[in-house]
Amino acid sequence: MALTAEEVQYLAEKALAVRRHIITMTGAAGSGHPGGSLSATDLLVALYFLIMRVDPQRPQWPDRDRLVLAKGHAAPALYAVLAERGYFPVEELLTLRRFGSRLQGHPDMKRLPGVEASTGSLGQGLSIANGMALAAKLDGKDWRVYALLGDGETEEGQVW
Amino acid sequence: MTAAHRKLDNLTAIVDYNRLQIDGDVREVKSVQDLARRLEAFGWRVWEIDGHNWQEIVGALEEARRSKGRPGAIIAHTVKGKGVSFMEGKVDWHGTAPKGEEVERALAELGKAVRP
Repeated sequence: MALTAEEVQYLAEKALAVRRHIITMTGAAGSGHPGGSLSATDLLVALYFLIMRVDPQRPQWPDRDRLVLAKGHAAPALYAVLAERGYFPVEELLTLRRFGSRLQGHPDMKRLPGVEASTGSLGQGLSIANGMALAAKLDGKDWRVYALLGDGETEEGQVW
Repeated sequence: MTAAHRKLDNLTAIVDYNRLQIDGDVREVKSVQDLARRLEAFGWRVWEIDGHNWQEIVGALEEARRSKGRPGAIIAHTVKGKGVSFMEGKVDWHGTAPKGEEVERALAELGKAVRP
């Protein structure tokens, strides 16, 4: 079903906000991965603002859809999307890569609500997503799993 | 292989196909050649889309959600650094943060300043 003009406008505005966050965050941190964060922005915005069944107030809701950011170095894009979606305050984005911050250079599922898997070691994310999807099948649940990979990441043997 | 063997149609892999990785052009570092055919050979249903076109992104994700019996893979053709002219298609911006005036130029291109 085609998107309405209003839906496109809504997604485009969210994507613009996320891209601004990516620049501001990595600029403040003095390090990070802007290139692959900016390329993945529209995909993550569509997932979190239109496609995925999630509730930011209940990040551990058992029936939520899951996203594994296999290309974990694009963490700034994920963090910005999660903050815009309401998982945590937008102000916290500026703590990216600081000592003690929940927003590490690569996503840490033990620290930040909304992060489904700790990633960054390329090739592992799709395997993690496989396990989650199989778990849903075994439990007879209807939640879905998404994995976002880099194209360079598909060189990893573990992907296959 | 696992995903197709287990018929994980509740799994969708999305590949951010921006053609660049830290060491350069993906095809030169280690080419996966025809990624779509390779995924299909492993039992996946594959869509190829423009990863910056909202209709195509949402259309493929909705089709993948409805698809039964096989895992789905969406190859999303994207531009590294998308949205900031001096970053687009430049491998130098894989792992380098913008500084001072670069931040200002990028934010100016992306519209009004970020809040707060």
